[in-house]
Amino acid sequence: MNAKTKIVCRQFIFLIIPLFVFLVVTLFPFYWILNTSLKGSREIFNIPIKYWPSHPSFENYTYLFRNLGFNTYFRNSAVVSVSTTLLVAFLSLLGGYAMSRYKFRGKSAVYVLLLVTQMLPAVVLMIPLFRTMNYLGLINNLLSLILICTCTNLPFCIFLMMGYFNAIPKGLEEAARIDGCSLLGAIFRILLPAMSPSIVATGAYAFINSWNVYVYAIAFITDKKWYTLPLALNVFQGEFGTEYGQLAAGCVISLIPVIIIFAFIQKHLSGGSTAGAVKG
Amino acid sequence: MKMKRILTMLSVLCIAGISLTACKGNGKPSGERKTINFWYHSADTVTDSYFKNLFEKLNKEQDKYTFVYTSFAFADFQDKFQMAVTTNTLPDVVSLGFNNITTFVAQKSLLPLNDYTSQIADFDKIDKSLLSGIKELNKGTIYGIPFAYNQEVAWYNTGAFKDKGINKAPATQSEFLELCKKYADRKNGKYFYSMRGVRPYDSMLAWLFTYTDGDGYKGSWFNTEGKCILRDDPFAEALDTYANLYKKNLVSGNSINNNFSEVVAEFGSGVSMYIIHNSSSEPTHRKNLGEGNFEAARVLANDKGHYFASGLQPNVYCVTNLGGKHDYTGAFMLLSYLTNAENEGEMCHAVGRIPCNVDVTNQDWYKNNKNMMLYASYLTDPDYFQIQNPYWLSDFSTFITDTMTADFQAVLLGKITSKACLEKWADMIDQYQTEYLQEK
Repeated sequence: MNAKTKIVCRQFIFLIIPLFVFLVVTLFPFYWILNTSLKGSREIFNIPIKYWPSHPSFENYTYLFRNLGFNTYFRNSAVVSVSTTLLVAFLSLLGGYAMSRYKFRGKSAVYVLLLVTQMLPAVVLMIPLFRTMNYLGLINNLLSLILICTCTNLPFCIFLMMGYFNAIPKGLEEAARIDGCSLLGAIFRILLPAMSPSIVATGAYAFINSWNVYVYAIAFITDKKWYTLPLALNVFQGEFGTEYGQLAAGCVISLIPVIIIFAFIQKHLSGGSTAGAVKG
Repeated sequence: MKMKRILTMLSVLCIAGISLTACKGNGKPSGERKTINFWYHSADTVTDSYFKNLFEKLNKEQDKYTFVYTSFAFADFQDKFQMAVTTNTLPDVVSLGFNNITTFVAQKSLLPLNDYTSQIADFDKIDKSLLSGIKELNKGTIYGIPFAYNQEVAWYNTGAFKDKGINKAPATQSEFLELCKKYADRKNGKYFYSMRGVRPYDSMLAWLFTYTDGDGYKGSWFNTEGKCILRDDPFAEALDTYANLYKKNLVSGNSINNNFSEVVAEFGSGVSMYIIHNSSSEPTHRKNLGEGNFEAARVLANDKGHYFASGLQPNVYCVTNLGGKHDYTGAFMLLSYLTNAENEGEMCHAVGRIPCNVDVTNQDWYKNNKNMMLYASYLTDPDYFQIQNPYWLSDFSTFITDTMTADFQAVLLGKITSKACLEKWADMIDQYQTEYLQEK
């Protein structure tokens, strides 16, 4: 066996096979959810197990939209997620810049406070936040979720942005300032394009977290017309049984935006935007 | 500089605006309807539709109150109610599952109803045995009015029975065991019965108590000395007989991990032709097997003709405890409306549950429903005994879901003997009962 063949064999055994196994293990649940969503209730419980429905149908999907008003829940989730993403992206951009570029009194305290907020699990904050939102009259209002999702995602996103800003040479904005650009102009016209992969990554993080928000949604939303998708999916787990077909269909619908976003931002996540931006 | 001033002023205005939103008046103009909130603990499309129509009708019929219906997914309800208790945002009336009553009573979030029964129009029409079950939970105090319950029955596949030449469902445990032996076909993966290995308590306890004829204590878990009877020898023999169904491959090998869904799956896919589960699974069987392909039958009796099933655990409507000075008139108006024969009958008909208001039994839909007749027949049958599960013990729910599952599976696998398992259970129940009596 020559050296090249040995390398190929080694790669196959130690890289390809483990990756393949990992891929199968990771993707199998998604495949099974899709498989279940296309089956009728009888077929879901078939023994022996059917790895693909005999008569795939979209009955579960049409039931969700026709009978359960899933379009409303989808819209509510979209409103919360998009609003949170825009707010978090904007605020974390400015906050990250300040934390990266400025030295000010209390900076370490701010840093520690931002860290401390990440240590508190959502269930601990649920009740005091409910009281606050109740007092503000924001129960059964998507604004409560937008506010809370923004506040809970902001600290980590500021850290992210801070790290991204640290990686960008100060020379970029100094060059812009020398040429007469204002500070905000330097941030939005010079740094923003250079930071676009980072902003997209931060935005995706905030979007996914707010899309999946459940603990706060349970606390603040009781009226069905304001339900988000995670709350709506729970309805399928009844007192005396679970509607697996419809639950699976609901899960597939919930996954679609996340998959699309990841597919879309893949190209924006590649680095190299700042390479060569500062010459000489 | 100018920009800085503008930004500062904007920030101050925002903060002032947010502060002002926190100030809200509590005054209400006189003559407005008072709002009465009702929470339903297990939302689905059928109950949502029923309650929405009912509440619209009720709000039109009177002008003193606005009754508001809110439903929750069953999985979310307990957390939501807990939060309402903690934050003092309880609704006025709530529906609860039987298992939740003692938890919320312990938190003093439910109003004792003994002094208010005159305000509940159909109180005297509620089935006495169901009401006594509620009273037993809480030392004679009624914390909820039962409105619907399930009954333990046997379900069998009529097509499979016909193919095998089985004329009728087994009436006794002896007949059942014979059929299990006769129709176990391990090679082809077909069996007579599907056993439940996860959360087996209802079917397993029914087997044990029926086999032993309750050891003479008519469904009580305790003897005259207050000790748990599970440690008595007849129970070990009963558990051995039941566990041998698995050990001798008379049921599927998956039984040890079968929960309700898997039992129904085996029944629906033809792996088994007979299961024991409560009446709530009828809609699932209809979906899986189709109308006319399955029937309900009475649960198995012993050779004396006696049969035991877990005590009826109805869902209840409760009035929440909003303090001594609160006016509960609206809450009791709603409670009366929900539990009257017309509305309760309509609800039970829609969701396929057994009503607790005896006047509902005169309604046509009830009298024409063969299964309802079977479910109701238990209550008037002198051979039927309710297993009086000690739900008044706060650890009992955990005991039956977790401890019983793990230990029963160990028995099936031969890791512990039936005798050792039952002695352990008896010791635990005795301990819980001692603690309960000490607190009392």
